[in-house]
Amino acid sequence: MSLLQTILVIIIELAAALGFIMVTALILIYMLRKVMGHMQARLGPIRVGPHGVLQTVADALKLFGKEDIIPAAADKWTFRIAPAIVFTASLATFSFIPFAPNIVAVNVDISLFFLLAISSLAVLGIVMAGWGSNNKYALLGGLRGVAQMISYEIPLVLSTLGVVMMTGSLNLIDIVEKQKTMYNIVPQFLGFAIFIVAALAKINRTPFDLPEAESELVAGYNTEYSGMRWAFFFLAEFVNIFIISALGTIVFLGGWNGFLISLPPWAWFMIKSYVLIFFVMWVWSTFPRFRADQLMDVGWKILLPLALLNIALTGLVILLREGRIF
Amino acid sequence: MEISTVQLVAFGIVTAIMLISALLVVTARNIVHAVFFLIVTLFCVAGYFILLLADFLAAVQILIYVGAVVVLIVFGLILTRARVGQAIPMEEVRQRLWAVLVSLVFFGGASYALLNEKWPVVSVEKMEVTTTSKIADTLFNTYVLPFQVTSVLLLAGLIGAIVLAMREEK
Repeated sequence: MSLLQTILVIIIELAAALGFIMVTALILIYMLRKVMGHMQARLGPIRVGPHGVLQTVADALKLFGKEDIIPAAADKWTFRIAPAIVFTASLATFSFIPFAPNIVAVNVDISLFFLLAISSLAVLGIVMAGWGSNNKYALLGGLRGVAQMISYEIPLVLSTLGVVMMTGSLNLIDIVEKQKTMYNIVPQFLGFAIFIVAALAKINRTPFDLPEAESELVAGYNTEYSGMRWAFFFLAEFVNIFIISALGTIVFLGGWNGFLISLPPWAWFMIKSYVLIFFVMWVWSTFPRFRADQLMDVGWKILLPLALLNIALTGLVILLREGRIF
Repeated sequence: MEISTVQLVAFGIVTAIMLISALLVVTARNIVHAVFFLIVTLFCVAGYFILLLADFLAAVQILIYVGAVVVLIVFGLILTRARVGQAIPMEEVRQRLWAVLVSLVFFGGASYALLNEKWPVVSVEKMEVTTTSKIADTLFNTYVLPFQVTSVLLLAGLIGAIVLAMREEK
């Protein structure tokens, strides 16, 4: 393949991923409004289109037309680049997710590790947005976001390690293929529980939504943003919900391996992911928010020791099975 | 080793970005900007690792340096002294001569070591597809003692930091 062809293929792949991300985000935003609406005994969007399905499309068009305001005292370049970094990190993370055995944008040997590493780049965009806005609420939100994401990244990574030890591979496709007979959630239930809690914190969702606590911080790190730049933060948040649910599906819920009825692999994958997404939204609309000190306590004093215990137990069981001790 | 055009172009782009951002790290008047440029530089190092087919090291480079270490530097700066949009007044540099000397000595030493070492070269075909298990093997078998000593060192640093932070509360 010549250089031109390679570049062309990359551009087409990126465009496809971008299109998928946009559509996913629109669906998720609509879904959130409906789910949250019905859980709070109201209807949610209902006017635009049948049952309000076109509401998010209308919102997106509105955002396109809005003025892009940059505060006079902001650090201009930092302020401008921050949403791009957050969104690019989400887009790049997205490319490692296999939807079916042959539907994956980037397949590398250590895709799980790469996915987790690249997703940590979002922290950078958040700290840039918080500092660059020159606004105390934005700065506080940014600092909280960084502290939280760094703290909870550790239990998140460690919780998947038990599965990696059982599979013997860091490749997401290998991990799914290994779950043909039994999903990892059964032997790794502790890991799954840690994963779900840490994942909620990592994507800044209730009960861990301190970085954007609207009753204290206006809107957190994106307080000063408007128009498309704000939309990028918003989109990235929803893409992250999808990514983390997809990751949970792959690592713990058997990915595209189906049961009882036979559906195409990608359909199984999407169904399971959307079940997890629904769970996130369920928690979102029902739980109160943690305090900052409780947040750190849960991360460092409960989740981290539990994750280490899980790794030790998994290692012990593997050694016992292979008969290398006793 | 056959080097394709794509690799060559990628190497050129990564190197250019890395050198420019490294230069900006030392010339930026705003210390937070300097840290942001440092992030770009370290990210380019991850690009080098990928070009060398060291995928595990590339991921570690991103996760640890870009995702954690530098972000903590920014964090510390923001909490202590970096006001938005203002260059931090730096003291007059009086040790320019020493700085140049030390840099030259380090550059000379590093170049000498790099040029005189016989680097083991493996052809692409013979290269192992995954580096992860090999790195794990090296860390936990061959060099297990230095590895553990390093972790004790880090633990000491951790405890030291906690002791320093605790002192104010008493």
